[in-house]
Amino acid sequence: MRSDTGTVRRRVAAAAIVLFAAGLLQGADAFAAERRTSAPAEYQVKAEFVYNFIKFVEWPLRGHGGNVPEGMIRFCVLGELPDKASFEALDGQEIMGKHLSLVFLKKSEESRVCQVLFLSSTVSNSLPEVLEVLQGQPTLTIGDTEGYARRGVMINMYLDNKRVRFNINAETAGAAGLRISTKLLNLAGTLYGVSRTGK
Amino acid sequence: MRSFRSIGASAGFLLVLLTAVTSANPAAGSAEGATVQEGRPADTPLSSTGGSGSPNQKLRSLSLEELMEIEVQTVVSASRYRQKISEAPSSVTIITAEDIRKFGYRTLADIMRSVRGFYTTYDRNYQSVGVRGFGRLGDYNTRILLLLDGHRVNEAIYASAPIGTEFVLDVDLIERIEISRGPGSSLYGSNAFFAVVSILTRRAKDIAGTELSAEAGSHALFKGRATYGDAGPAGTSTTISATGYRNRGGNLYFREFDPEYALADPRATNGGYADNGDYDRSRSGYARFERNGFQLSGVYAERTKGVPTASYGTDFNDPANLTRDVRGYVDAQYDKRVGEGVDLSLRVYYDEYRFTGDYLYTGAVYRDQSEGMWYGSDVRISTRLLNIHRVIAGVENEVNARQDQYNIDLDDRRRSRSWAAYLQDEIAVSAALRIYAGVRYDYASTFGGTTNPRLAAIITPYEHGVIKLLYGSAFRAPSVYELYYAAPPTILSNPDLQPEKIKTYELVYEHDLGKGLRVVASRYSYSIRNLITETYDSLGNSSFQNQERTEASGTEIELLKNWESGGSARVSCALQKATNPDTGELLSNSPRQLAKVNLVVPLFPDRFFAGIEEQYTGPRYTDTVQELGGFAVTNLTLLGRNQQRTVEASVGVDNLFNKKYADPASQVLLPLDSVQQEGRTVRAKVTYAF
Repeated sequence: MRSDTGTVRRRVAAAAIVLFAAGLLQGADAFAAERRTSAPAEYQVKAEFVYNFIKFVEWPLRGHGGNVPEGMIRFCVLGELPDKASFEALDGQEIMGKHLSLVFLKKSEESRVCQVLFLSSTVSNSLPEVLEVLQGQPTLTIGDTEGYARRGVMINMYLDNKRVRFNINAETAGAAGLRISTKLLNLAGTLYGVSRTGK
Repeated sequence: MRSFRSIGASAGFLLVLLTAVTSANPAAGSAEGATVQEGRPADTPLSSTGGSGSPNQKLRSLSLEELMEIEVQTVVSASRYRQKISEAPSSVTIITAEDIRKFGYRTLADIMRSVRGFYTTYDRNYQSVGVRGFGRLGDYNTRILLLLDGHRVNEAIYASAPIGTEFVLDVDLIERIEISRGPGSSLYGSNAFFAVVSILTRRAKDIAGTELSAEAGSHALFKGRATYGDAGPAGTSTTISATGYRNRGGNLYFREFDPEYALADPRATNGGYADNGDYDRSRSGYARFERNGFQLSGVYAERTKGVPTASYGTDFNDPANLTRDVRGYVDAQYDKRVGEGVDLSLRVYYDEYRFTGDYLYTGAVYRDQSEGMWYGSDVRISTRLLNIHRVIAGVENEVNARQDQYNIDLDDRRRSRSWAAYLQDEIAVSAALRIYAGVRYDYASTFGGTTNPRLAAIITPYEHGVIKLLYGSAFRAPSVYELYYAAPPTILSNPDLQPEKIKTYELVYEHDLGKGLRVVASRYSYSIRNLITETYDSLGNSSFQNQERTEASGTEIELLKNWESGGSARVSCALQKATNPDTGELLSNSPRQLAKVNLVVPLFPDRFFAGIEEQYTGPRYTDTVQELGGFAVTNLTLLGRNQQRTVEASVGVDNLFNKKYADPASQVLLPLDSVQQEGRTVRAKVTYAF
């Protein structure tokens, strides 16, 4: 037998050894730390995304008719959440020298006073009415339901291979007078509408 | 065998070493392995399942880019979606690790058989997949492109994509499979003809420890797997896995080889039984190491399969008829964000493939061998321009250092090289319209150049609907086997072969009915020209020629439903007609109808599931123009696991009602024109993670 299959085996075995030698060189702590730690919960991570989104959005100086006290960002949630506690943890957190104040809304009409509004999947059917109420208001709308960005929600999170990604509707954000930073626009999976604010 | 053991031994040794180093290191937080769980440092609260009233400091310290790399534990929610399905410029099916467990899939062939519009054909040697009514007999899956973590799996001699037990990876290590229908040559080059099947492996984070799995089943089937995965900080992770598999196979009966049968073959013997001829043995190993955007992976697999069908006129009932496939590669990839919205990806790889076929003629072995060695590199850059364009551009370069084929009559040594460049632009014209335009040029020293474009419009006319208009062309390069294999005077080579080309038009409509229910409908037509076909000249000598054409059209409809309870349903129906326009005849091995039902029923929430599969394949013609009847096969898998998901057990029955059916066979199996398929088989499996 001229070509012994063992040659492949030997080469791949050699490669495997190099691979694991490289692994060992990384230091044992890399292997030891956090063994068996499970992944963070979906909404814990989504809450952190919301926190980061707020950092990368600039609100116009005027708006909300002076309804929001100085030094405060009113973060509202409309609809049912599968994991409320993760969002509750954001209440009182400081962002750029302001404090987040979390409000769970019961009616969509109340949303005009919010700088940030999270729309859960349960408001999907009444989404057009909710967005109608917000027309012209500088309210950053965030969701995590298929089709929300297309339908006018400014930032919509989705999961891709267990990782959180987001789409941005730059058109509605621009119309509301919000400036979304280029950094955020660049990280978005899909951008809807030509942005007049991003670049 | 010896060196395989040496891999196992060295891997085992390294594992022991790793464990020793790990437990000896004070940084582990606890010196005793047994207390690692309780002894977890207080500042790693990543495992908490809900908000604990204070934000997660670990997550807070991360940048958006880092957050985007974190895997999350998902909650069951009908709203969950993967953008790729609804907005990809093709009709996509996703199969996940959970599907593989709940339906007890053991090979890629099992998986593909469950997918809308796909069917498989098994000749007791290789599994072949047919797509959209096209499933040439004797083909080795050269018209689909198989990618494993982005690495091309189709080898460089026959261009075959292994989907049976010769596949390079244990399917238990698959995290997700994306099957994109339609031509993909504008991004991926050769073989992306009918579909691109992209396989992503499970990450070390998901394994987080050791997994041991054992499986046993009918025909003395045994499979064992050991996997170790460890993910550390700074994106460092290591995965290693080894699998062994053997299946004694049944003693198969072939009427054509039964001396009692009036039309028996002259080779008929042993009452038509091929004793111990259907054995199947494979071993595979997989390793992956990642750090900060750098990924190194290695794959090795070998399989030996008995050929019980006396193909190529070989002796009947001699278990020494066999084929052996050996495949291995090492792949290094580096991904880096090099600027605002600009991502760079580099890849270098080295691949090997060996084939040995032992054919017995009156007791003497005729051995066919081939040997491929190739290496190459890819560079890909993706960037966003003016906020509405997303541009992907890349170049690829490959050197085939060895593409050798030999037997007692042939000593053909070849080298070849190829390169390609491609560009794709995704344009968000408006919120309701996205355009994909892509083109790729491929050059190969074997045939020259070919250019393949793709154009797609993704329209969202209303809230819950998506319409996709797709056009694309694709090619399949002639393989070295088709170009140069010869056994003079009867089998001649043809170095002048040109690529096969396909043009496809497709209209896809997807509608979200809410509450986790989605409907997908597709209408397509394609035409193929220059099909590489084995032909016979007036003297009866055979060679491959660019000869036949195919015209086909079809309709596919699929319903997908997810319930909050964890149950799911996937129901599809595919109707197609693929003909040779020169003869007007329907292609062989081309069913006009396919129907599939896949149901997961949670019998006890999160703990106990039933996976039920029903697959109907319509009548097919053999190459000898005999009609084989349609058939429906039912498979059932019961899976249970404990709350912590550390122990998982399953029992499965394939072909539950013992339906008798046959797949058409290629002409090299004559006098067989079809091969009887497996009746009812049973299997049981236990997986333990710690």
